[in-house]
Amino acid sequence: MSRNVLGRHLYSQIVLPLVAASLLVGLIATVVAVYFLGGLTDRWIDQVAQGATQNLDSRFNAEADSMLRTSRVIADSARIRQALESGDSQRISGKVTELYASVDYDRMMVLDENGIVLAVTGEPGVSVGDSPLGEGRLSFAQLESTYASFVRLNDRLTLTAFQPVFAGAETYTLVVSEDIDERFLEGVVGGTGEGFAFYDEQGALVAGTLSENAAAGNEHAALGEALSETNEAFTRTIESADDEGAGRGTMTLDEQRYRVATQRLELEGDPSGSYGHVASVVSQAVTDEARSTTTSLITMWSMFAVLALVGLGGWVARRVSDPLVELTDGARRIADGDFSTKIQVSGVNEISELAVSFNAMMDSLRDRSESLTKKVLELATLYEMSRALGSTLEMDVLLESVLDSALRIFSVELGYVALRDRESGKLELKVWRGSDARADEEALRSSMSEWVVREGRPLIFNPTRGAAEERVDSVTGALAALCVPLMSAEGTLGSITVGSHDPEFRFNSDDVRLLSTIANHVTIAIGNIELFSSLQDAYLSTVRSLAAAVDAKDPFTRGHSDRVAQYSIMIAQRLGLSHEQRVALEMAAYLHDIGKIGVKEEILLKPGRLTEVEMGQMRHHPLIGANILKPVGFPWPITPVVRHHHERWDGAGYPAGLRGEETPLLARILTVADAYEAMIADRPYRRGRTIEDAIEELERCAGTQFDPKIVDPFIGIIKEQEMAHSTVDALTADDIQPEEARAIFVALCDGMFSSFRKLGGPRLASNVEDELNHYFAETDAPLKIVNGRMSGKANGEGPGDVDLDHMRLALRRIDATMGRMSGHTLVDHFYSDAMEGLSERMRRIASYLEFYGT
Amino acid sequence: MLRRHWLAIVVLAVMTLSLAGCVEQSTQSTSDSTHRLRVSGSGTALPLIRILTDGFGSDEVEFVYLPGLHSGGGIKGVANGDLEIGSVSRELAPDEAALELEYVKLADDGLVLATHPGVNIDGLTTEQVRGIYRGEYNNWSELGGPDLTIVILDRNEDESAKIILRQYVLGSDLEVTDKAVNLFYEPDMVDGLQKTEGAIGYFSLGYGLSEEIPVNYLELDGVEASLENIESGAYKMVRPLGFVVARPVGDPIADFVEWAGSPEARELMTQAGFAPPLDGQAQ
Repeated sequence: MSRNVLGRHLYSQIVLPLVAASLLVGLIATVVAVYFLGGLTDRWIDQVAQGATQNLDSRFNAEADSMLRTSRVIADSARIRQALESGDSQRISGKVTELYASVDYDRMMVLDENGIVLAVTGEPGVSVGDSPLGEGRLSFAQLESTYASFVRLNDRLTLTAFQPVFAGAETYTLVVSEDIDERFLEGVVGGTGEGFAFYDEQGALVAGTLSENAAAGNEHAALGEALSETNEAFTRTIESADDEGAGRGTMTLDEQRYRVATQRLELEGDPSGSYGHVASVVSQAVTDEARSTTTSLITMWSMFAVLALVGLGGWVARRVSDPLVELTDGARRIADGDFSTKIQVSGVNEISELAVSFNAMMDSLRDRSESLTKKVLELATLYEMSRALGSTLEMDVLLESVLDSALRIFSVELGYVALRDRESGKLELKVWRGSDARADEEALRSSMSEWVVREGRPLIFNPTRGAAEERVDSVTGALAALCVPLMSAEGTLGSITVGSHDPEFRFNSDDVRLLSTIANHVTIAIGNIELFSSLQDAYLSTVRSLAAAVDAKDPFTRGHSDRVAQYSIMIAQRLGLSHEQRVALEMAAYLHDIGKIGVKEEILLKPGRLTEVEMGQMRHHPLIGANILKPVGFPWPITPVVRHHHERWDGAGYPAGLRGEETPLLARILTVADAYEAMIADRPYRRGRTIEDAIEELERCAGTQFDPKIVDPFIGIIKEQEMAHSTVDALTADDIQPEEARAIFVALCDGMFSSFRKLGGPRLASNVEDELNHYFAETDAPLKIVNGRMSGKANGEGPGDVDLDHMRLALRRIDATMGRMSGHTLVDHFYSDAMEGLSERMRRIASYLEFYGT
Repeated sequence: MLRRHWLAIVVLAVMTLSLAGCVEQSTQSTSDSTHRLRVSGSGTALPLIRILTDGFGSDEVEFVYLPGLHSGGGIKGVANGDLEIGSVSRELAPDEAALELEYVKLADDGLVLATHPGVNIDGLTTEQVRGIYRGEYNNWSELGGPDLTIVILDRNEDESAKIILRQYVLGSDLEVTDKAVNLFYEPDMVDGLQKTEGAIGYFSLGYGLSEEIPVNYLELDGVEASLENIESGAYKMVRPLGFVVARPVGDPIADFVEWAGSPEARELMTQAGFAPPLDGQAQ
């Protein structure tokens, strides 16, 4: 549509002016040619006709001269004079007849002084004794000696010569005349012209004849007829000839055009003033034909030239406009973002060069656009990935997100991430993509990743073109694969691999660079995660130590903080709190009574009721705890929880007296957990309440002391636990299989060793191990500890026939040994750590079997 | 510039057209194989010979007529080799017969007396004719005709017509009046008779009949000048018309001589008003 409009515009801008100009030129040329040619041929034919007329005129005069000469010769002859002198009519007539034989005129006669015919010979009509002439003519003849004139004799116009003859005293006149008739004209005329005519003074036809050439053919028959009688066309021109000396006219006979030229004819030396008119007729057939032919030729050539110009113009316009339209379309397509257009222009000229440049520009634009698009995609994916890297601290989530992004960037479908275990040094497959991926250790060991991690260098594997399909990566089964190491300052952490099933797919150095960039990000993120988790572990250990220290100060509330923490975590889980909040709550639960460090031991350990002052001091412990913890700068909001864990729902608590939800949620949870634990725990000064009582108390105080929204789920948790306990409680010793007891024993020991190693380090752990193994060897116990794991003596598998006593003894010995190494308070911590790793049933069985050190 | 350009175009066009018109059929020139036979001699006999040559119809022979030379000139011309055919309108003189030429007689031609048509008389007697030529009459009214001056036309004495006229009418000793006009050629005589009122003269009857000359033919002594009268011998005033050719007679001339004696030739001559000799008379 737009192409057509544009095309028409340029086309018409070139072609239309060309058409108009060439038409104008052709028209002007034709008109000028016709006009010019018409004028030329008209002038020419006029000249021809006039020439013919003048020719006729001079021939008439020549004829008259000749006639005069002849008559003069005759008049001079002695014979006629003698005859005249004799006066004998017989003699005179005889001489005239004799002399007439020597001339070739129509009539010859001799007149006397009175104009009477003395003798005559020739054409009939004049006889002896007639007086054929007027007075004037005779006197002219006698006076002017000799002249020729037009004379009407016997009703015919004649060319007549008068010649005086002097015989004796008498003067006679010799008259020689020639009838002006067709025959005479035929003899006189000549030269160009198709027809000739002689008209008398009155404009009546005297004689007319066709020229010899014209008479030969049949084509001028109509002209012959026109010449045989008085014709209006002639009389008209004769009128103008009388007025202006020469007359011209045109007549059309039988579809042929003739040019008529007339002029008045007066004979030289004719004193009588007689005259006639000569007319010449020239056919315009030839000139007309020449003119029409030439006009047709010129018109035809003009038309041809116009057509040729128009065609040429059209061709040129097409040559110019089509490529331009093509280029315009191309430019428009580029603007629309289509870079695949190629412009085809044939020939070698500026436009084709433009097209070539245009195509080159298009290629360059396409390349740039593609690389830009790829870069943008890379950047977008990298950006998205870096957000994902920053937003998660969970390793699996991180790796999956990274792998998916990498696959999206490379537009491939296969990939995996393998990380090296820090302790064993073996590669472990963490996440993978690809339907037929083999996630087994065997595959991983023979994969590219193994080499890459070992060498610390990237590896590309592109299939050889045309070669049989070969799986280059044993894990994903990819035909083309790229693997880069995850390098950190501490060494190679693992590798990330991407691959494709497409045998045409090729990885290049750009891809290596890109995947290396991703790998760097991943490495940093993994470092972050590891750092964070180790930090968290360190915090937790520290906090537990502190809690243990606080608990140590009040032996009666020993393990209080641990249990409060357990209850708090249970509530948090039931309420669906976030990981962060759970960690914060756990920390706060461990540390909630740290402020008791600042309370005098007398008050703290005083049995029975406290005085008002003592109670006041006791009420300071949340604030003291908050103040202690404040400088630590925990990454979690622990301080407010510790500060407000003695607030009440009705606002009657301390230290701030906050009401309802003014108290932080975590603090409210801690309040409930703390109160419950205090209720059910045994104290030196009182026996702990039963669980039912405690539940009753919680329900009673919900809405006053406690947040009812926390109490209700907590009661649910407690009841569920009570159900589980009741099933375990129903167990007897007989129900416990020796294997189960042994498994619990091993798990308990392993847990304690693990916990000890975390706090005490590998060196102390190794010492404890050696000491215990020594002891087991001395006591002949069938036990041995290998790499922190309890095992049977002989074969390193689980302990074999170990009875319960041995187990109890072993535990007591572990307790003692660890206590000597790290202090007895910490042993409890190790023990509870190990118990946490067991299931509820196992813990119950452990308690039942008295599996504890002291 | 433009004007000159157009002029050039016009000139070109006109030239092209006129050239195209100028192409004519080139006339077939006479081939070398044709024989040119020159003919001249007696003006009286020439019209008869012209009838024969026109009727001969041979592409190989071309007859060329030279101006009239009288009978004697024709004989001398053939003898000298200037002519191939010499026309003769009288008997050969003895010295001419001695030239050993082949003479072919074609026909007898009557000599007729005639007047201008305006003279309405039927005939004259020999005496009346003698009187006129002696100059005894001035006006036709004297002879029973109209009131017109008698204009006497005559020929030279060596003309065959004058010789025959003297032989049969005037007589050898008659002196012709000086009012009479001598005309050198027979056509002048014929012309004068036609155009001059009151004229009288004499010329070849064959010519007069064949050309249908509108003059008043006169009976002589009551005998009309006609072919029948000539053949019957009633009209005496005749002269032999013939021609001479050189001996030995060459090929194309011999064919012509043979053809001149053929019945077709006779028929042509009779139609023209001449009296050819009977079969076998051609010598």
